[in-house]
Amino acid sequence: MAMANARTVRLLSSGLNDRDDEDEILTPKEEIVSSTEEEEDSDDELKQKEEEKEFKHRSLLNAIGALDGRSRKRPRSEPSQEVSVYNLNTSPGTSLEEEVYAVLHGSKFAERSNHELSVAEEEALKAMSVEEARERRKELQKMRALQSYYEAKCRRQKKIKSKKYHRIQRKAHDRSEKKQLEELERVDPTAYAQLLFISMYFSSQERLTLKHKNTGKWAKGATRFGKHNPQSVQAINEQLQKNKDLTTKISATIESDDEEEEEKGNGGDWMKTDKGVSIKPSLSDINNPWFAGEPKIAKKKENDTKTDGKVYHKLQPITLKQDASDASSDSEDEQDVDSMKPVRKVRFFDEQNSSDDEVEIRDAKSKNLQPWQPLVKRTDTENGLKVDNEDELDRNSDDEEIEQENKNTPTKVSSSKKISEPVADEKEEVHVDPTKFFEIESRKIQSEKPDFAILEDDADEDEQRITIQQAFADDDVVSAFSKEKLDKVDKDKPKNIDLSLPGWGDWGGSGIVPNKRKKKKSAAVNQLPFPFTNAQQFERSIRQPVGQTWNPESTFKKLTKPKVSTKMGSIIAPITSEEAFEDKSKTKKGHQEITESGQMNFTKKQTKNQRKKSKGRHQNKKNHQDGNK
Amino acid sequence: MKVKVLSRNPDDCIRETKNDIHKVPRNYNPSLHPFEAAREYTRALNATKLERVFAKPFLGSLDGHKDGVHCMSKHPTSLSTLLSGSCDGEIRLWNLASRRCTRSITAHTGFVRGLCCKPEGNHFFSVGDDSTIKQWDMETSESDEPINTIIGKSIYISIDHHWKDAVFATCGQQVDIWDASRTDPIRSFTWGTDSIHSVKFNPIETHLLGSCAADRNIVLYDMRGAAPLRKVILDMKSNTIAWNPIEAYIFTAANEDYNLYTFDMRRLDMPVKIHMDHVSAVLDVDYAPTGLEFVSGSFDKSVRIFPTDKGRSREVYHTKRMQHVSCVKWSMDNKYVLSGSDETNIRVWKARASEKLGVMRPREQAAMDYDAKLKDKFHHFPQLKRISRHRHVPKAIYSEAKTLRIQRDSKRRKESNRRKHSKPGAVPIIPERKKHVVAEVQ
Repeated sequence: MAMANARTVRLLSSGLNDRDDEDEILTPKEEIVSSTEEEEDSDDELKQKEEEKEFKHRSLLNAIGALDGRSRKRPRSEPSQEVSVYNLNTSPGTSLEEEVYAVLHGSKFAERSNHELSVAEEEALKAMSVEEARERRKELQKMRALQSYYEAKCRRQKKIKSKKYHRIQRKAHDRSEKKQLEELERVDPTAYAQLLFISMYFSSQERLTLKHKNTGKWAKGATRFGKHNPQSVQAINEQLQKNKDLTTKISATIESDDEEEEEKGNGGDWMKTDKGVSIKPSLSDINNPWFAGEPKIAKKKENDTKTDGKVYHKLQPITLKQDASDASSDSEDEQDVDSMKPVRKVRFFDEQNSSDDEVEIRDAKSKNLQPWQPLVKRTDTENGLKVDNEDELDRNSDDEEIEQENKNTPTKVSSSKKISEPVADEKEEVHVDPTKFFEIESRKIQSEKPDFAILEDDADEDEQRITIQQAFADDDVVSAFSKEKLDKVDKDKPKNIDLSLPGWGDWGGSGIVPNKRKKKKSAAVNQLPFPFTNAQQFERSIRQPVGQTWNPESTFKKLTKPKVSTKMGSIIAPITSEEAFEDKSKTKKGHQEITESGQMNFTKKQTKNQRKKSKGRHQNKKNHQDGNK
Repeated sequence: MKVKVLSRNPDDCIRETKNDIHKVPRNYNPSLHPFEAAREYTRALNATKLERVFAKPFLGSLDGHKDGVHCMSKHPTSLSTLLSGSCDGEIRLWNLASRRCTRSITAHTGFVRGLCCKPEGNHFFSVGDDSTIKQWDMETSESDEPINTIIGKSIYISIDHHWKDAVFATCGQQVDIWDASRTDPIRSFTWGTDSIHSVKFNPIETHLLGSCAADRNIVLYDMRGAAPLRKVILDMKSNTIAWNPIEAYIFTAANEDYNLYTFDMRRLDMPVKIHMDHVSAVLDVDYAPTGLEFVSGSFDKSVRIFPTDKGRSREVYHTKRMQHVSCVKWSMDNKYVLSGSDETNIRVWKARASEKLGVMRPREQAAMDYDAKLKDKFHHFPQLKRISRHRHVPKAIYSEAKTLRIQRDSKRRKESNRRKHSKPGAVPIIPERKKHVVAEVQ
């Protein structure tokens, strides 16, 4: 088919040869004929689309060429005539026939009996002159060239092996993203909230799964065998880092506008944080019990989110692509040209799916839009997140209008506040069930009273009861109060303290009876040992633990320091009278130091001579030991 | 859905470098670590058991003498050098590290009775049955001739050198103080007529010396004075004494009556402590340089180690082949014990049987210290006491000890019976310590 197209192209007027020349410039080694094949080869979707459009275009041109009369000989009208004859005779029976019929008659490409040209051909003639077509093609070629340049650039960058470069790139990317996010937070808190919610969703997903946790087959192998391979180590680290990044909590506060707060300042305390309104209620949480009371709101919100439809995770307007698609869409949706004008296109890249979701959003000015949708409205500027002042003003006024209009219909932003209202109301209202009351022992007065009086009272009481019942419908304050009181009483009561120790006696299990015949080894002394004067003293000394389990390191060291320490290979000379009578506090050079705690250290003193010799001797001693072994 | 997870900052528990300390978070809340006494008791018990498991005190023997080793001397400055004299008049110098004999000298005819070194460590003296005092160079010389020889009138049985000055003392018929440069003694002491078989200088009060005589007395002298200071007469004769190197006035005498007596020289009428455990005559005693323990060698073919303040030995060393131990020494670094015995061997023992020799890592050292502390803390408990005291001894010693015990019990019983059946006060209670001292003479 491509060949045929090429041929037709050749047949076309000389002006079209310019294109071939340009193709030659782009791909000098390719034949002119295979210019379309080249297009087929390219794997890019967009290119394919373009190709298709090109083909359409060309078919139109063919149609134009047909008008020249050189290709008039084509036996095209004959089968159609036949069909029409056939059609006259028989009406379409099967669905296939119907389809064929529809194609033949309904399509604008279908030939008409009384006209020389089909509708499409006529339109094409009207729509485009050769000049225009040429222009258009040039444009497209330019676009394609640009795109290929860009792709080449990307490929080149991707090929760069320098980690530093990529790190820098990544960081820059992160930075810009962060900036965008901040901007978004400032400009459009709701959208930001939604983004946050989505990222929270992903982080929760991450927390639930074992992904990126070094539990996979590869990770296990890498940790085991690739320990010394820096690359695999780095890969593992990266994985872990990813996990960490995903699982770290994101600050869940958004700064809300003061104006809004003032406007709807009746929000409950429970949803407020220091900085602003917590995002929780603004997200439509079906499980949230606060929404359960007002199913309408919830439903509406759900619908709304559905109309929003897609997950707006990351805002990344790519101008080039957009342009390209715009360009292509022009020819594609010709019939929509008029209606497209108010629509702005924004491209959102869902990070996870990496599939491009194109979303078309009508201008916010249209009144059917709910005011919590400015998510898109505000972000839909050509260059990322810029917001025009005009737009902002418009939005504000719009919001107000909508507020006034939809005062009764709960909006998403205000819903979070409104939800809390019943809480406050509930607290103010007191529901009393008159059937439940405290029974206080009534003292019977020993007097005679006429019965009728009592009867009257009864009637009165009944009436009163009913009114009370009506007044405090469906809540029993009394039982609540009694329950509260009971709770308080319970709280004040002395409680059984659980003295069981964790882990102790767990091994044996319950219900173990000790063997009576087994001899019990008593760990007790028969007599009170010498330095102690009473049993308590001794017991206390035993109870005081020495080990590291109970004492800090320094204390442990102090407690376990041996009373006498000697060093192998150092000669301990007898004490001298000077040392013996020296002031102990001044003793420093003494060969033996008796510390405060009565500990003796024989390791310190050595005269210079001794030290010199003892080094060698120490060595000898060591040898000695070795020899003994 | 809310997923609760434990989170921990790895910075708190992971060390940054290999040499970084381990940060171990500890909670010392006593409720989390219960039964501390019981647990430590068990640890102490285990430590005691392990101590017995690892008790391998014998390190090696120095083999070379052709006759029984009669005397030994430590080199004052070299830990690895040991001198020994045997009954055939041979003196040998040993390198303890390599366990080789570095030099052997045929010094005397008959016994080498005594050996001592100059405090500088360059010379040593020997006395023998040929009634000569010979001075030798520590370094090997070709001729193996003494530097100096003093021929005395009578036999010298022991010799000891002053701890600081160039003065030495010999004993035989009397105690002589010699100047190394002279051929005649600078001073002589006599008290009584009998022969004196041991003399020892006090290492702290260096001009003091003590001697043991065959007439059962221990005599103290001041080198500066003309006459002996005082003496104590015991039940039986003392073979030798050893001065405590830390406490100037304390000495221990190795007695023929199987006991050792620790005396305070200021008060000789009653020993400070009687150390019983040997089952035969104690022939030699030597103090540890820390002054806390001493080692004794006995005719009962065993070496025992006593704490200075304890009546019973904490350790007994014996081997199948070891005969009567004639001399013992405690190394100057407090780690080894040396014993010379009749069957020509000198044996090297560890001073603490289960001690690990060699370099220890701090953790190991800390564990050892902790074990030692625990053992000390719970040493009153019968279970621990039983395990730590338990020793296998040769049958001869075991049965002899049994006999002795029976004898002692019998004596005690008889005394108590006598006391029971006589007028109160007629049989006075004499403390054990006083029983063995006959008299103190000033």
